[in-house]
Amino acid sequence: MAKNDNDGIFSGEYSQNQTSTDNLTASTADATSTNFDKIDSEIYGTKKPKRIIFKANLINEDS
Amino acid sequence: MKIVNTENQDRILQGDIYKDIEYIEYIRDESGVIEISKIQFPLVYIMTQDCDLQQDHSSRDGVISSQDKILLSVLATPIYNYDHVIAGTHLSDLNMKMSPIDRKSTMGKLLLQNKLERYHFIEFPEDVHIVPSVIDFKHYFSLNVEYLRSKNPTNFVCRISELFRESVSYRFTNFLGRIGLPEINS
Repeated sequence: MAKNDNDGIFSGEYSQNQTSTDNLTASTADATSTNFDKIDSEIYGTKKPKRIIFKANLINEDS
Repeated sequence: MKIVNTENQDRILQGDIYKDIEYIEYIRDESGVIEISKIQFPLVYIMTQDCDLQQDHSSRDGVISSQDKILLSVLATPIYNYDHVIAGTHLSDLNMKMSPIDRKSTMGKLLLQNKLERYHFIEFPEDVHIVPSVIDFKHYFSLNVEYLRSKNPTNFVCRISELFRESVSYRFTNFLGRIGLPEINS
């Protein structure tokens, strides 16, 4: 469980789903998938959206 | 004519594509424990009209003296991987199962031709390293303007050029303005 720190800025903890396994090689036979071959730099759009949940206790347990 | 412009500017523009953008689903406070749920989208497309974005920028920078033109939020839509959409798995990490689309079916062909009103297919030129992608008009959401401004220098990927962004905008407004008629039982 997250706690407040002393200067009033709360700290918390994150949980998130696993990131997707990327699909860099998918469907290379398809005419619309030629961009999958671009591996010389960062390729955008291969990941899936993921959920991140942050929890923090706002009640200072020291007070 | 260039489909995509990769040169960033000092403000948010209609048609901008940003990476790694967080959308806050909810904030819940229960007995002092605050829970924030957010979705991180790998790519988003900015849908808000450019004149509104321009005036908002000028207002925030003090060029316009009043705050009349300041926006409360920016409208965005997620950009999904085309192959994930075809497989119906693009939201699997959110535990959402979507309908797959057969590439060879009529629906699959209409998707590529941008004749399915819900979706907008984009294939980027060779020099832009984005896989074939699909905008889902049903999943629009809003982003805080200051949050997005803070992401502009680091998370900007590219911008859909004017003529093509107008096509996206036109199709989006058509989708939003569609009339849902009830099924008529004879």
